[in-house]
Amino acid sequence: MFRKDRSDEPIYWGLFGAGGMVVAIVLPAIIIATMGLTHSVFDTAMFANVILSPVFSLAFIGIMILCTWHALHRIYHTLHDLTIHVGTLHHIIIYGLALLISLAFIGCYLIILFKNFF
Amino acid sequence: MDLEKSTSKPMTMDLEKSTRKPFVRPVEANWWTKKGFYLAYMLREGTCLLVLAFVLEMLGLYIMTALHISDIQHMNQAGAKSLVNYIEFLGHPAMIVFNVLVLIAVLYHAFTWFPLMPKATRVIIKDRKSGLYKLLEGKYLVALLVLAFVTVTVAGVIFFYYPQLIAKLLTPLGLFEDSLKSMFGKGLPF
Amino acid sequence: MADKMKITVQRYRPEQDQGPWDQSFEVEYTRETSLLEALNQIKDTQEPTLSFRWSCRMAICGSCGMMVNGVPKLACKTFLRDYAGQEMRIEPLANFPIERDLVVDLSDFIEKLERIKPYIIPKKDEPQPGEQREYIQTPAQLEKYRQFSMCINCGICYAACPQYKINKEFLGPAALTLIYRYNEDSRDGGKEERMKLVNQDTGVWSCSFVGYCSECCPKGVDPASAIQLGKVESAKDYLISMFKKGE
Repeated sequence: MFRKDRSDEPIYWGLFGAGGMVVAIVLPAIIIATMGLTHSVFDTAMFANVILSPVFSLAFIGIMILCTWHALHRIYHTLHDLTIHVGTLHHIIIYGLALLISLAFIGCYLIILFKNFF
Repeated sequence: MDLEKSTSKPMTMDLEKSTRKPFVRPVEANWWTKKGFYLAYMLREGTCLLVLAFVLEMLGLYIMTALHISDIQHMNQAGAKSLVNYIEFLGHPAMIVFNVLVLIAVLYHAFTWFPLMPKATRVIIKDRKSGLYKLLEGKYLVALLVLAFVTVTVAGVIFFYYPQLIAKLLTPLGLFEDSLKSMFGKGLPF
Repeated sequence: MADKMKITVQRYRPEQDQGPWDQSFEVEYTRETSLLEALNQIKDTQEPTLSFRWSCRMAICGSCGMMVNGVPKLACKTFLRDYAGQEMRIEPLANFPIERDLVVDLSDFIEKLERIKPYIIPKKDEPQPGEQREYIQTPAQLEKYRQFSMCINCGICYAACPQYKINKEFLGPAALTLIYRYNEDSRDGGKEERMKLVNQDTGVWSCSFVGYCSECCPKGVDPASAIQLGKVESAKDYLISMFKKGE
């Protein structure tokens, strides 16, 4: 995108590929769990206990961040498929949004992690 | 130079005598609606919209958790009201319907994703005729991915809906008791 | 007993037509009649001015690619019996400019084929072309690229590819497949040169894995697979370049 001689796609494609695998294998379980969050024995307190576990929480944000890059990479290419000419501006907005969502997850993780310890 | 010019001319023919008028068919933005194969592809790409929406739903949940982390730690339900509200919002019938749609989209993604994977992998280790490399190629790879999907989904459902089952299975063996305890807080919920 | 088939052919005569138009024909066919034979029958007995390319009649020259009911196919490998009870609509190969009737201008594809150097480039430390040299290759080494060397350059994958439709700068399925085919050849030393084309936005990275090229390929080459494998190679190349100085 920014270089003439070599595309930077390998970065985004790598994240997209890893994300695609996560969406296919892990996300269905998370969606099913979310649907039962209010009804299952897995109540709010237990939810909190899981989310407070640094390991579980890290795995959770890892999954979510990969899903984000996967989804936004596909949106980027689908714009092109709809014959919308994607330029530098589209690139910055779409991957910028992916970065923003990723940072939000990381920020929340750090808050949870530090509050957990202090 | 003159020689080069004179030899290149017959290649393009004499333009004055040529009736060449190549017709270029226009590219329509709705090309993907014209063929079932293309439509299936666009649907596959379209699943990402619902994935993104679900990620935002989870981000909301995660932000709520982070904001009320102290209250949650002390099981202060009153203080954690907005988190409880958010979880109740996730249980709203409209949200359940939405999540079912997300699930359908994600399953469609999964079952278009797995069959394409073998095309992107080629494991050739010395001799093609022997070795476990076969498990990473062709239909074996697809089977392996489907197996991973089934395992994670079933394990996830048991973990979230029937944690008692895990405890029943693992406690007599004395396995993972500590990690289960630390995960679920002071006491196991079962 | 011969059955009858209605075949509608898209015509375009540059010296008199503003754009393409349809002309329908009735042809008799038997179990063995291929579309190419049917078109020749039309040309011989009904419409002598109908233009289309063909040569070998046996799916090896790659000349007779055309759209059959919207699907790119070789006319010689398409049989009327498979369309019994339906009508057939024949158009020139999609995504290429129409020269006349079913003849398209493939020069963009041919230029790309030339650009990727689809021949063995000797390794630097080995004897150069013209020198006496025996190239030894084991069956296992052959297997690495054999499938991808079956391409007959018919252009059907370009007609199947929406990414080429949208962006004609895209190197396209066949060219990228041939790059992979030569890069994986144990006798070849031109990988570094060809990777420069692969690594660009118009190289493998224009592909979004629609997969229709592999669906349509009359020789079972599976270009989509070659491109995905090319992406893996390009990603490796990208990582290496990050740690190399002066790149």
